[in-house]
Order: sequence, then C-alpha cells, then structure tokens
Amino acid sequence: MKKVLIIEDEKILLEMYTFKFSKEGYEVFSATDVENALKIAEKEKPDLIILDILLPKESGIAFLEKRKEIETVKDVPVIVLSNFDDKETREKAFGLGAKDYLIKSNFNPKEVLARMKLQIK
Amino acid sequence: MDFYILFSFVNGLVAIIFGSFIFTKNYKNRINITFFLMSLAVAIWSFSYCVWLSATNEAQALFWSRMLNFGATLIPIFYLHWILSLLNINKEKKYLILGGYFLTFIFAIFSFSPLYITSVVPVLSFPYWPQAGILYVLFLIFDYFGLTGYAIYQLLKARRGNDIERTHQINYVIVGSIFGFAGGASNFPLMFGISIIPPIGQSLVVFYIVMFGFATLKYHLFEIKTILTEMLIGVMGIIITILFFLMPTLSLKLLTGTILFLFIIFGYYLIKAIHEELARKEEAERISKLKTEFISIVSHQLRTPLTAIRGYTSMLKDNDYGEIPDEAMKAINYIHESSVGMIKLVNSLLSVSRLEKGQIEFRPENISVDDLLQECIKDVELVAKDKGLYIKYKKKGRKFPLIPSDRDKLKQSFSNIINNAVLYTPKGGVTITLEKNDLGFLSIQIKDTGVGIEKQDLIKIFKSFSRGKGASELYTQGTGLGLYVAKNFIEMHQGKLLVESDGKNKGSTFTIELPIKKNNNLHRSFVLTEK
Repeated sequence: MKKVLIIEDEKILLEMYTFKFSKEGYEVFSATDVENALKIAEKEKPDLIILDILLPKESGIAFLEKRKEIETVKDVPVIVLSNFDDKETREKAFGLGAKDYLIKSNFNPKEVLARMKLQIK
Repeated sequence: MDFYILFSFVNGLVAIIFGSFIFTKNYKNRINITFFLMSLAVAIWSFSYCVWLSATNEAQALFWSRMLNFGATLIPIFYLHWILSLLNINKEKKYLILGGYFLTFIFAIFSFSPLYITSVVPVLSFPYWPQAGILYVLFLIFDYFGLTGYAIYQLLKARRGNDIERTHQINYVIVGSIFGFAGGASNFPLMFGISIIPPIGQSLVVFYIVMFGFATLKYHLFEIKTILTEMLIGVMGIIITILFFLMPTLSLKLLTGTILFLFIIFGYYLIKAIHEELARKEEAERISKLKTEFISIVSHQLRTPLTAIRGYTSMLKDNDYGEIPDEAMKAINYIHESSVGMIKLVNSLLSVSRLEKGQIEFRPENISVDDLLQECIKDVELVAKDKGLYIKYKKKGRKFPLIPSDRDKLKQSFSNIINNAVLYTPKGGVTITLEKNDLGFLSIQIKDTGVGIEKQDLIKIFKSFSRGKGASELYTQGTGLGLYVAKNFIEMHQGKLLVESDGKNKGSTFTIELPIKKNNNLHRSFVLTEK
C-alpha cells in the first residue's frame, strides 16, 4: 500500500483529501504544520507528499528546504497543492525540487489523484 | 587653480543642499539618512578641498589636506550602507556594515597622523599636494576600492530580476557611482608622485550626487520633472534678483523689479500647479493599487471554501459516499456547477488583478490547438444540450502544427469565448472552425446565432468590466472580464482576437489568430504587453 503524507491546515480540506485518497487505497498520514510534517515524513517514509504553502508558523517553502536535510525524505516527490498562486513562490517551490504546483480550487480530489499517480513510482 | 576651487565649492554646495533636501523628504527612512550622511562626508571633503587649495602656507595646507582626507575616509562606508539599504539587504549584511564602520573608525582616527598623510609637496601647478602614508594605501585598498567595489558588485547583481522602474533606479546609481568614484580617484596618483593624470575628475563629482538624489527619490519621472522645474525657477529667480541689483538706472531697476515680481507670482502658481497634479496622480495610483490588492486578497480567501464545495460535491457526484437519489443528485449537480462557475470568476478576477499589476507568468510548451478546442467544447456540451443548442466543430485540413503557447492561458481564453457564445445564444447554436491560413496563422472562428453585439458596443467589449447591451439583458450575472482576459492572453501569444456582428439578435463571430512559427520573442512580447 502506497503511503501519502498530506500537509494541510484547513481541517475541511484535509478531511476531504484523506477520505478520497484512503478510499482509493492509499495509506494517508497528515500534518498541519511543518515541524510535525518533518517528523512524520522521517518516521513513515511516504511515497509522496502533498504540501500546502500557507501554513501556521512556517510556510510550505520552509518544508521544502528543511526536508533536504533528512536523508530518507529528501528524494520523496512533493506536489504543492495550494490556493496561493504567486510567481515567486512557484519558482521557489520548483527550484527546491517540487514536482508539480497545483491550484487547489482548480482541481477536484479525483484530478489531484490523477496528478499524484504520475509522480508515484 | 581657480577652476579646482570653483568645482570643489560647487560640489560641496550641491552635496549639502541635495543631501539635506533628500533628508527632509523622509528623515526617518534609513535610505535617506545614509544618503544624507554620505552627502555630509562629501561636503566635508569638498569644502576642505577649497580651503586647502587657498592655503597660503605649508602648515595650513597640511591641516586642510588631512581634513579633506578625513572626509574622503567617511564616504565609502556611508555609500556602502546607503546602497545596501537601497537594495533592502542591509539587515542580512549587517556584520559587513559593522565591519566597514569599524575599519573606517580606525582610518578616521589616524587621518590626522603622518601615517596617513606624510607631508605636502609641490606637484604640477599645486604648491601643496598631500603625499600618502602607509595607512593611506590600506585605506585605498580596503575602504575606497574594497567597500565601494563591493557595493557596485551588489548593484550589478540586483539589476537582474528586478522590474523596469527598479532597474532604471539602479542604473542611475551605477552611472553616478562611476562618475563620483572615478572622479575622486583622479586625485590619488599625484599622492604617490605619479603625475600622469591631472585631478580633473574632480569636476565629475558633482554629477554623482545629483544622480544619487534622483535614484533615492525612487525614480519617479514626474518627481524628477518637478524638481527640475523647481530648480530652474529658483535659478532664474536668483539671476533676475542679481540683475535687479546690478541695474545702473532707476528706470531699469523698476523694470527688472516688475519682471521679478511677476516672475515670483508666475513661479509660485506654476510650482503649486505641479504639486497639485502630482498629488492627483499619486491618489489615482493609490486607488488603483488598492483595487488590485483588494481583488487579490478577496480572490485568495474565496478559493478555499470554493475548493471544499467543488471537492465534496464532485465526490458526491462520483458516489464516493454511496448511492444518491436522482432528485438530490440534481441539486448536487447545481451546487457543483455553481462552484465551478464561481471558481472561474475568481480566476478571472485574479488574472485581471495580475494583468494590471504586470505580474502574469508565461509558461510556453508545444500545444495542440485542436485538442485544446475539443477539451473546451466538451466542458460546455452539457450546458448547450440543456439549452437545446447545437455545437459544431469543423476542421479545415487534417494536420495542424503544434504551437508554442501557455496551455492554461490559451485554454482560459478559448473557454471564455466559447462559454460566452453558449451563454448568450438562446436558440440555434455555435459553430467552431479551425483552419490554417496562408499567412502562417492558425485561425479559430467561433460563430454563434445569439444576441449579437450592437455597433457602439463592439469597440468597448474588450475592456475590463465592460459588457454589451444584449448580453446584460440576457444574462445579468456576467462580469465583463472574460473577453478582456482572453484578449490580453491571446496578445501575449502575439495573436489577435477580432469580433464581428451585424447587430442585435444577428449573432456574433469571434476570430482568434495565433502565429504558427516558433517565435523566440514570445516572452519579450509579453513584457511589452505588460506595459
């Protein structure tokens, strides 16, 4: 069973993605901030990470930077899924190794799933 | 000699006047404070230069040559601090700045000692030219060339990736720096007994302070014009006043007095009018900025709940939560469609806000226009069917070349136009034709049998928040943004969007023309569109 870590602080959206991905046969882990996300990622070694940008305390960009210091997490593909759509952040995210940058409102959970499948080996 | 005295005096005067002027514009701002300090150091250097050149004995000349070099010692660190503040990297470089101040402090302490300036000797036509000591060499290496060189390196680095206005500002500073520091440096060879270049660069120094001043005032062209006008009026006023005192007869004095009086009144109203115009312009810019920021914030906040509505309804539609009765499913479909419509509106608002801020990204890839059109048609098929409209898709030709374009933007443009055609057609339908024309363009024609566009509306329908009369009567919830966004996006691809209509209820035809040839200037053309 493939493992997915969702880093999302909006409870309603987190529940929505968790429900859909679990239903499709993924083992889903979640975190609402960067610090916890790094701990869970290190412990569970997910196959894919879904990352929001606007998070409490630290932004998703900080996660992309900090994950590089963890040997078991640094090569896990990350898809940014955020409603924050700004050129600079997008460039930073890709520069830090994000595989995709999706605008949440433009994709329903099924469409996000289709993009995820492209990244999971 | 007189030439050097005159230029030093002018340098000092301009530095002190301009420095104070910038300081009074915003005395709390670090950029303005550091600029003022730098101007003060230039003034100490320049005025001491004047006194030193006028010295009548060796002791006097030695003291003032040390004083002028004391001023010169302070310039590089204030310059560096000002540049790093201007580039907004003063916080991350704070240890470097502190180091610079420490170094300057050491040199400044020794600037009145023989380690700095050993003596004054006759050189060229100058009777008392200072001779550099060992510490002066270190000052030149670390302070004069080291600190200023680093500042110029940071300026050159900052030229990349900045907007046009900011790049202009940086260019002014770079040119000013070259004038100023090269001019100042023309004094050094003589201090080491090298008399290849006379210190004529002195005359260049005055330009740099003026250029720096403009740059500090954030390079607002209008503001530069205002300052120049004020300066011109000031200079003319001084000239007429001098003429008034120089006039030999009473009648001539009366004449110039009258001219001076009229000039003062005229000048006062001219400056007042310029300031009023400036205030109006600033207010208009402020309102426009507020509008785009408001749209941007509202759009971001709206997206999150819309994501939830769209996401949950799409899962209900897919029966992820179990079978749903037909009647309930109908309601869910309505909620879902409404949320998708709302998301499109939010995206349009964001696009408009970005277009107006000049922040649109352009990500070209090779796209099949044929596939993209079919996707857009599929999206509206259901709505068209519900309204009893036909949608025909005709291809004139078999193979169509891929064209370099930004997929999302092109799709949004096609969708906006095709959606409009369906929305504003009560009966009949929409015919979409794709063909390759002889001029090297792909031509997409979207022809409907709808409400049409009246002649007077044809010219304004591509403006933001503008809608045709027929459209407003049929569908009240349109925003008038779709065609504005579509036209801008198509022009970003060096394409054209044209419209034709024979009038009310006679249908409309929109034609999109996209260049087939791969064009390396696509992004450049987009930058031009931004302006």
